[in-house]
Amino acid sequence: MDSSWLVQAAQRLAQDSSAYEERAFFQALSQLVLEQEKRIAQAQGEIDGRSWDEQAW
Amino acid sequence: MQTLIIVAHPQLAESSTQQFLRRGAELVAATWHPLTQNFTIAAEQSQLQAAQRIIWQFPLYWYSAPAMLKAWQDQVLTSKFAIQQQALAGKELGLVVTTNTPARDYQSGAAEQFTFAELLRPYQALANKSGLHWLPPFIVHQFSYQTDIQQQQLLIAYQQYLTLAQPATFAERQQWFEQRLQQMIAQAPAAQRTQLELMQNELINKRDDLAELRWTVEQMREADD
Repeated sequence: MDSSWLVQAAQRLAQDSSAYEERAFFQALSQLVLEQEKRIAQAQGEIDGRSWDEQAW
Repeated sequence: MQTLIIVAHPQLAESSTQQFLRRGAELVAATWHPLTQNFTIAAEQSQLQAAQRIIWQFPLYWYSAPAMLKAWQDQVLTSKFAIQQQALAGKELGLVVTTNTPARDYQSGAAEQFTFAELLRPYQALANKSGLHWLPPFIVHQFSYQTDIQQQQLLIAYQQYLTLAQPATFAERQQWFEQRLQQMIAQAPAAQRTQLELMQNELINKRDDLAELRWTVEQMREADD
C-alpha cells in the first residue's frame, strides 16, 4: 500500500524540522498513522469478510 | 498530572541515555529529581506526596537498582510513612530501567533466563504494600546501539509513559499526538500553520474512520455469534 499524504508529510517534517524533539515527534507520528491505516484496512477486511455470507445467497 | 522522576545513577553526568531521557522529561514538564548522597527525609517525603505518578529511573545493576536508590528507599519510605500512614496510597509507581543487554535475552531459556516481570517483582511488592498502583515498567535496551529513528521513537514513547494513563490504549495515543500537534499549531509561524492544521484534520478524520469501522465490526461480530 502506498503511504498516504499524511505519512509523507510527517516523514518530510521528520527530516526537515530544525529541533530534534520536533523531528522525533513527526517520526513517531508517521509510525502512528501507519498503524492507524493498518487497523483501518484490517477492520474493512473483517467487514468485507463478514458481509460475504454464502448462506444468504 | 504531576510526574516525579527519581533518577538513581551513580555517574549521571556521563550517561548519554539519561541526558537523552532528561530532554523528554522536560518537554512534558515532569519533575527531574536526581538522587545524591545528601537528602532530607522530610523534603523527599513531601515531594513524593505532591506527585501523582512516581517514577524510579535507573540502570540495571545486578538485576536491581544501584545502591543509592535502595539507601534512599530504606530511609525515606519508613514503615510509618509508607505502610501505617499509607501516605502514598492511590498514587502510581513506574520504573524506567536501562540495560545494555538486548530484550531477547530476558526470557526463559535465553541468556538471562528470567523476564523483567520476574526480576522486578520486589518493586511490585513494595507498590502493593504501600497502596501504590503499579505501572508496566518501561525498559530501555541498548540505547547506544539504537538507530536514530529508534531513538526518536523512544523519546516519544518515554514522554507518553510519563504522561498517559498506563497501559495506554491506541485511542489514547492517537489523542496524545492530536494534542501535541494542537500545541505546535498554536506556536507555528503562519506559513507552517496551514499545513499542520491540514495534518491535524486528517489525523482526526482517520481516528473517526477507525472508531466507526471498529463499531461496525463489533456489531457484526455480535450478530454473527
